[in-house]
Amino acid sequence: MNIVDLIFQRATAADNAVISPELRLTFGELEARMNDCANRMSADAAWPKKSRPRIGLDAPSGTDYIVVALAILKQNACFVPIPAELTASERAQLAKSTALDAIVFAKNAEDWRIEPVTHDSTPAFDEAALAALNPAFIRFSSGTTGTSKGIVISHETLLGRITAANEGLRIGPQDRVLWVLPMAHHFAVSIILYLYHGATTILAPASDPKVMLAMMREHGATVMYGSPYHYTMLSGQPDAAALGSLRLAVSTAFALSTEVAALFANKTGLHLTQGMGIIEAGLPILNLEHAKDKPTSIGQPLPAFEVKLDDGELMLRGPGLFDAYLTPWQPRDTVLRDGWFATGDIAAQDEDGCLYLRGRVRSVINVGGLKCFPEEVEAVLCSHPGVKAARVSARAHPALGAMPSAEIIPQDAAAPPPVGELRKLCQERLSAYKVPLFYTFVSELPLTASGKLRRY
Amino acid sequence: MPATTPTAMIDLVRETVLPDLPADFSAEADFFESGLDSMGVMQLVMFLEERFAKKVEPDELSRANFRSGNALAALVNGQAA
Repeated sequence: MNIVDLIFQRATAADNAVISPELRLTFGELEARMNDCANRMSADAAWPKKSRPRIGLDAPSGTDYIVVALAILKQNACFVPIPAELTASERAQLAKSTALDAIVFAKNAEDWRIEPVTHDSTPAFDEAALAALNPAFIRFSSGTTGTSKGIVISHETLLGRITAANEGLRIGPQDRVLWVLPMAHHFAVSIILYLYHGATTILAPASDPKVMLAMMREHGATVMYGSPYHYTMLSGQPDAAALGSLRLAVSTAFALSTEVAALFANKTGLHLTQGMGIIEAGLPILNLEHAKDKPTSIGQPLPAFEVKLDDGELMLRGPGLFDAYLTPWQPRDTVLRDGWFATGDIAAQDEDGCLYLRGRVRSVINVGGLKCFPEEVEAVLCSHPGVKAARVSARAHPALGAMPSAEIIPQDAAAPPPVGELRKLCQERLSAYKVPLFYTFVSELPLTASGKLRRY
Repeated sequence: MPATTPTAMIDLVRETVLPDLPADFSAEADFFESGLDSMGVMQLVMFLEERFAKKVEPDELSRANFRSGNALAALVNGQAA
């Protein structure tokens, strides 16, 4: 089974599939463009001569990101998105841990090159076992390093999760979805879902609210997907009220605050629906019932899912759960406990069954929807000779979620290292979103009873 | 707080978000063309609040206000369009 084949078997060729400021493609045109791209790729001398190769994609978000990604999937290759913000060392780490066979660098669907990747050691996972899963995607929950495991999602799992998510979203051929999120981070239970259900995806520039609103109006968008940041920006537009014509505005990536929810509702008359997207499970929880009275809740589980709290930790059971962790290799059944997946999120549930996220079991900072593990940043800071110890924590902002901020014990309190040097060191080694925004020098850091850094 | 300058804003952007901005980056040159993205805008919003006590209002979160050194200085000095 290949999800791409299913998409085009179901689609009406003359319907619009994707509309961007540069390009508009019907499903028929999208399929032709994808087939042309796939044929030229497989004929390229650098395309790996093996079944189910693992292919990285480095391309800007846009119509042709979709074309090239589908062309890779269509050839039964396993697709590994390479986010633009990764540094060279993070990219190398990603290529190594997924044992990439090649990377496609694409400016668009016509202008691309394939670079084979060679490795000096064999993959750390079982290649045959991976291939047997019919893998479509390998995704990483954070950058690439340290704690991130590589999450394998098969074609069957993709179908399971987009079917389950659509019991809540109810997206169909009559829908036009306004899209502003980065495709390297959001693709499966979003763009693939819209295509599979015959909807039109409208691609708008993420940092230009004027163009977003103009495209929304021109193309009659019915649904929007964005983060609280985008909704704050849109609320500030003089003609924000036009957004009230959407039937559904999903807020994702990071926590929706009461302030942003109220601001958006006041300006547009529409209540933001918070959802919980999670790479291991798709979109299992969505606030369809209580967007108005409980906007900060992520809502209730969709019909196909069950949830429970285990010592405060949110556990999930349902279709479309990930197939395996890649490194170390752990098939799904060895990870689940009686079919339950432990999300790592601390949650609370009210009398209506509405869920609220309260934090993480492990320390992690959610920066605009991207995960930043403080330990990774602290290790980089501590590699500076002038740093004795460091603690990285979240600096919260109502509209933006959180940004990492560092407290540092210098080796020599009289001569702490220049902040510019610390920032530069982090910029060289870490994705931009992980680089601490603010640096404070302190003489001590609070420890727990067992001598670990106290994090909250 | 004294009025800020386009040069100070370009220095801030170079120091915090776009380390590779050339030394001769002009006050009208476009940060977005040099790689400023929405994450960078979010970081700048927090810096402007922290260092310049400038609370960026939702209706100021436009591309035009973050486009260049001139635009950012006007935003911080309360002269935004």
